[in-house]
Amino acid sequence: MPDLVTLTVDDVKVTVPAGTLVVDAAKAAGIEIPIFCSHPKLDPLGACRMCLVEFVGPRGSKLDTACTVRVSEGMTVRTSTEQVKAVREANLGFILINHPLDCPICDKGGECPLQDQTMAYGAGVSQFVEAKRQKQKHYPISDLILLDQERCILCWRCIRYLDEWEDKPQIGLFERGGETVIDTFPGQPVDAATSGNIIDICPVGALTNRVSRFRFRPWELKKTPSVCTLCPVGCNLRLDERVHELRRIVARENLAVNDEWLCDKGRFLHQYVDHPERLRTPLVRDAAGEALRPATWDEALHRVIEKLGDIADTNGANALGGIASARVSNEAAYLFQKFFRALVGANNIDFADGSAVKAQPTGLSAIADIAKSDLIVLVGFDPSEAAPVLDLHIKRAARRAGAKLLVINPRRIALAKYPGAYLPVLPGGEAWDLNGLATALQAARAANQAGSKPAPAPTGKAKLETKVAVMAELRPAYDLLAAAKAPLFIYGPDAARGQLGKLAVTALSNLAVALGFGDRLAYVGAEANSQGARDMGLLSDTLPGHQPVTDAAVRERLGKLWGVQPPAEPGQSYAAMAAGGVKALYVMGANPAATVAGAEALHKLDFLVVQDLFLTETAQLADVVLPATSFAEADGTYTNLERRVQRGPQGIKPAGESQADWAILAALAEKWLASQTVDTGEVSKAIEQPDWKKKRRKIKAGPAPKPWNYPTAQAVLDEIGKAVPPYASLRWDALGEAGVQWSTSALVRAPRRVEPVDVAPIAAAPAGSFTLVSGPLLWDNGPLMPYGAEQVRKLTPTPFVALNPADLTMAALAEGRQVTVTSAYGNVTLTLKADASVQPGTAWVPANLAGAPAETLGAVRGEPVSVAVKLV
Amino acid sequence: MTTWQPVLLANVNRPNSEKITTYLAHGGYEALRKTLKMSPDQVIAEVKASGLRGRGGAGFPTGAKWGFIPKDAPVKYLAVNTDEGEPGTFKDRLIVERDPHAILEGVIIASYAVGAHRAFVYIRGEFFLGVKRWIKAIADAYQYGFLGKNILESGFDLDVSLHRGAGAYICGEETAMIESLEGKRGEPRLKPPYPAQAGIWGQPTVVQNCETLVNIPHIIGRGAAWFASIGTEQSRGPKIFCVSGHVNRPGNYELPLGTPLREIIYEHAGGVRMGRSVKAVIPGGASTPFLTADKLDVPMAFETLAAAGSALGTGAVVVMDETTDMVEVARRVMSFYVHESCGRCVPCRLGGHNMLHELDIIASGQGKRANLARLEALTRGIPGITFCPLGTGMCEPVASGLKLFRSEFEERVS
Amino acid sequence: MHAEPKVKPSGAALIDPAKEAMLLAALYIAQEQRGYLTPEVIDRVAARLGLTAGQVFSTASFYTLFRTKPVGRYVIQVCSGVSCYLVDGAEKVSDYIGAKLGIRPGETTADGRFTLETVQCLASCGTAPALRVNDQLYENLTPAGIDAILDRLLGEV
Repeated sequence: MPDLVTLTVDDVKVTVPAGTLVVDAAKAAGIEIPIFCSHPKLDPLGACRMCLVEFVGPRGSKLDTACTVRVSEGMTVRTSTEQVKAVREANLGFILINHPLDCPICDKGGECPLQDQTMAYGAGVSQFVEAKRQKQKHYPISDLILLDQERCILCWRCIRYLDEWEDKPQIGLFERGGETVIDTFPGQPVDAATSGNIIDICPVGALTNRVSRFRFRPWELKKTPSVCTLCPVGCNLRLDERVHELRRIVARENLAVNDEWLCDKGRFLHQYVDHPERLRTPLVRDAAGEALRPATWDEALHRVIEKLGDIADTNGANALGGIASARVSNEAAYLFQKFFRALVGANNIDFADGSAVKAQPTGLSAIADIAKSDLIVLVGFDPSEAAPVLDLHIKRAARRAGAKLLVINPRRIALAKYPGAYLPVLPGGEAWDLNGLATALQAARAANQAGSKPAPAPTGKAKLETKVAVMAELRPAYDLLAAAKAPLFIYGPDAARGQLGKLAVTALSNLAVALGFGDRLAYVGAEANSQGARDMGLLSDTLPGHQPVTDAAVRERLGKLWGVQPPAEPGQSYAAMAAGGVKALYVMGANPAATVAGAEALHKLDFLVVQDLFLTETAQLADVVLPATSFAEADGTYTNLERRVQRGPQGIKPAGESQADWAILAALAEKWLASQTVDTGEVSKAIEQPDWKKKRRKIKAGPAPKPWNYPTAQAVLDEIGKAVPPYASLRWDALGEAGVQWSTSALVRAPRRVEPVDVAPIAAAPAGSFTLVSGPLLWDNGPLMPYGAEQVRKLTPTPFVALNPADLTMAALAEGRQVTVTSAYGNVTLTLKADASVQPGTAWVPANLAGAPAETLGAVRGEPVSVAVKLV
Repeated sequence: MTTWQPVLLANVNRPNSEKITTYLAHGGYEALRKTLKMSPDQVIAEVKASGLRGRGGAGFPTGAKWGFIPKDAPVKYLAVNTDEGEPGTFKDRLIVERDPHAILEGVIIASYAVGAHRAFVYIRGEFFLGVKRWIKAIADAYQYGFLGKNILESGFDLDVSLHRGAGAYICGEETAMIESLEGKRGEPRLKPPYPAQAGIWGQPTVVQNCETLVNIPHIIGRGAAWFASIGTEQSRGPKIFCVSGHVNRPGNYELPLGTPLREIIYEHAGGVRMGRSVKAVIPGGASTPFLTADKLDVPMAFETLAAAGSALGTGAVVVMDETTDMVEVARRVMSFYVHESCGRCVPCRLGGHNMLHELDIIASGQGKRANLARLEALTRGIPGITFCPLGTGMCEPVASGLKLFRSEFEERVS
Repeated sequence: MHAEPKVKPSGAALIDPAKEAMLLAALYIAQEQRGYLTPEVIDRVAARLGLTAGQVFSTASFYTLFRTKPVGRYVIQVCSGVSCYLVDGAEKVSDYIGAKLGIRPGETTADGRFTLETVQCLASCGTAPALRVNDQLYENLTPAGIDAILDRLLGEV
């Protein structure tokens, strides 16, 4: 079969790849064939019959569906003959007879394919006067979606989406013939993590968005193409705004990233943007014990630089630190680290899972590579909860492309049900297993290579045998790895924190290198811009562009750009700063006070600045609170897990006086610079005296920082291009609407070296107690969840601990009871659940539940934690 | 009058006809013994030479169908369609209940020919007795060594399982039947791929109507030449005609293809009740267009019925006398198809519903000319645009009713 | 020669690639045990076959022989096919029975003994009119024959 096929559609010759459907070939020829059931991302169905066209053959022409027939050489298709028009009219007539005329109150009205096609291809007059059939109208099929059976035209798109992409056939066809309806089984609502996509692909208003229902008419919306900032996939989406409110989010096609899908969190969790509790003005606390009071930006910023300046003057630059989140834009992350490095003169900057995690700098080679892999190794990473659209791609690879999955995780995550192997590990125990696998694979490889030569070295052989003997339980994993032709390795923060995590990552890297796929190893962080934050150098030990702070050449290069060089000494980590390693802390978008212990540590600070959207637990302790904008309210770029730098333009007016994170930092820097007098060895210049408080900083010797001049986010991105070599070409305009992956060639080489790993197995928790396992939950109580719509908030579970059913039985505990869970770090009261995905001997407490129970118990410390579970 | 010694129905009236011993006592499974000494290709060649065409309705040449099965496919299946449900048709039920081994012998021979080691019998759910008879027949065939491993020491293995439908006419469509066999809703599949390429669980599958298979042992046993000598140019062999309606002796009649319709009605089925005259005949089951009394001399064969504007279909002859209300007949047939539409495609699901709606109004006497016009438009608009032939077939009786008995429709509307 | 077969070589004895293939058979068994397919039964069948309840219900509701609502002890199904209609069957039979039992097609008698239904062709066209009571077929019906059937059933109850 030739790779390309030429056919004629309405006298237009078009050449397309063999196997293309006629409907797509026509589109390539610029000819639109109307469709309802057909969808480019779903298997052909041929149910609606709208796309019937004439195929002209030697024995006359025949009608067939363009959505099911694949092209063949020399094919001739006619799409607008009288016969074809008559068929379209007839089909539309059949549909409309039984479709309610409630367009005026239908959310789809105005962007409805049925309306559009009726206008384009319909008869224009109604022939039928009889009563329409009555079916069940607008009732919930989940917390997020309503179904109107009268509007449904049975195109099966929702059914096929949930089956073909989600592998969760939760909507089915019930009954038969004219009685056929789509529905869910009673008591089993749709709970797929990307269920909202069925709203986008519904060609009528049968499926509607409960969060956005009746909040817009499509033609009134201002639509801004943007990206999601809730997880590192960076799905492309569209912000639909009306009268300064974010009314709706819908998916936007980017075939390289999210096809045209969006997860439910990305789609439905947007009401926080317009939430009444958003911070609208800066707040200051005049003295300890007093309440925060509104202030002007000028006063608040002066308060910040005055206090930071005082503390730096008294205690040195290293008494100041900054904790950011990796949710913020590249521009914010870059200016944050620059503020500390170039102005304060300290490397005390970090984010949660920042310097504590040994991350590969390069991210995933490409999301598209998932489909090309025959083995996907997931270590401490649960895409179903952490990155649902990545989960879709992986499931698709497993079901359609025959990829095997090797899941290494303390919990039997949902993806472990696909062909491959599940290797249970204790938290922190990943390194032991990975090292065993790596060593055995290296040895096998060495033995193979030696096979062509004379006898292999006896020591090597002996080593192989001992390792293989040790590995009985690793055997399925070993066999999968040994057979893999195109493996892909992805690990997440849960396997990579702390010292044990560093060993695990080294062992995993060794494993990938031993198989010859060191370039197919990726780290996926928890927060949306984890990759960008690392690229920007939002780390205590790493400069922009993934260079260590100890690299003098890089410091010199940055010094030329900034006017001053960053300090050579690595700064304090997140944990060190949050535990009181500094006297003044600047927190941007993070919430270290979520736990009681975290809050206690912050109490000891001399000065705390918090820049955020809401008055978080941390902001409540702050001396100055600065209101920041959300991703939807300011321009910014974000770098996803495959190093794709994407634009997130402003789509809505900022709430109150809130300002973009980067703009707050720029304004702060301007005032900081103004208050400093620097002896440059030339002319001393004091540009401005703070007029509200005459106070002069001591004269500093050395080069002067260059002035900060960023009128726009794009100006910050321009400077990022100079500071971060791989970003050199990534200007705002160049990114376009689909983003651009930064090239690894300018930066780093894939690991090629095998580093020895010295590791011991992790001991199980002592009898009667459990090893604490934590990890992400899609519907957690993360920073923005409490401010979502009611339907969204309902999805967050009551804080719970789950045990294996066998453990529950053995401990004579009953599901639903309240239990006290105690570790060396604290204790919490939780609801007890049974969950077979939780391995015996472990206790599962998801991260970021209300009250931060997992964090309180010490789950993110990167070391095994044993807990006791007792009835209250 | 054609004198024909029944072959296909030779056993059905014998006492204990369903028993394997009865079947064996009358030459049963001899054709199988003969088959197992032939090569599969020889069997296919014999069936091709016989000119046998499928008896399920579409009339596809059986030997050609077997030839489509890829020789090198590692797994191949045979499926037997005994999901008889077309109104007017009652032949399969008779064979399954009275002579299941006649089908089973055909199943084994056909499986041997195409290289299938697994056959699936799909039976209409309502055939309670047939289900029992099939189970017993299959069990006995295993006991006698006609099924299982190394059948009659030939080295050929075949397992047969029975799958009971549950009330869905559409499962007579071969791909819908396959879906149902797999435990799903009986909705037709997109073709291609055809079952010969990817049928049950994606494996090449031959689907045959049970009457077709009953012919196979006779073709092998008596030879293709014998079979080909019966019938007409394009319609070879004997056929079971199910005669019902206004005749004196309704029933199944096995006759050579090409037997004139008049002979079937008047000589075999005893003529029209009370000596009335024929108004209309459905010659091949409810989806075939009506024939009027002037067409009674048509030979009952694929090509001749097509020329007469109808079709042989399943060979189910429904006779209607001069008193028959044709509007009601059309409405009743329509209501059957609307009930049996799977609901997948728009024109069948919604168009069919609309047609029935118009027919209901017209039959009730409340209709206007506009209803008739709309009905007529629908019968022209739906055929050819539906997903499977059911939607097209549902229009035929109404369309031909409107064409041939227009005045009866017009009298009902104002 | 062998004795009566001891194995039951129905589909259950053969391994199919998908457990789903057993769905119709499983539904028959469940329906026989419970009279109709309750949501709980559907859930159990789904669990046994590795399907979702929605998938099971989707399939079950496609087929007319599966019931998702309770029916009477005797389900009388009157053939409404064209051949039965032609020989004074169909509605004439169902109306006759309905009048005797005091119910219309689709209804169940108050005592739960009889459900009356009209159904599509029962493949008894040659022996029309026909009806079925549970799994027993009655053909060549006459008013006297129908009376006899009903009397016998009433006597049995």
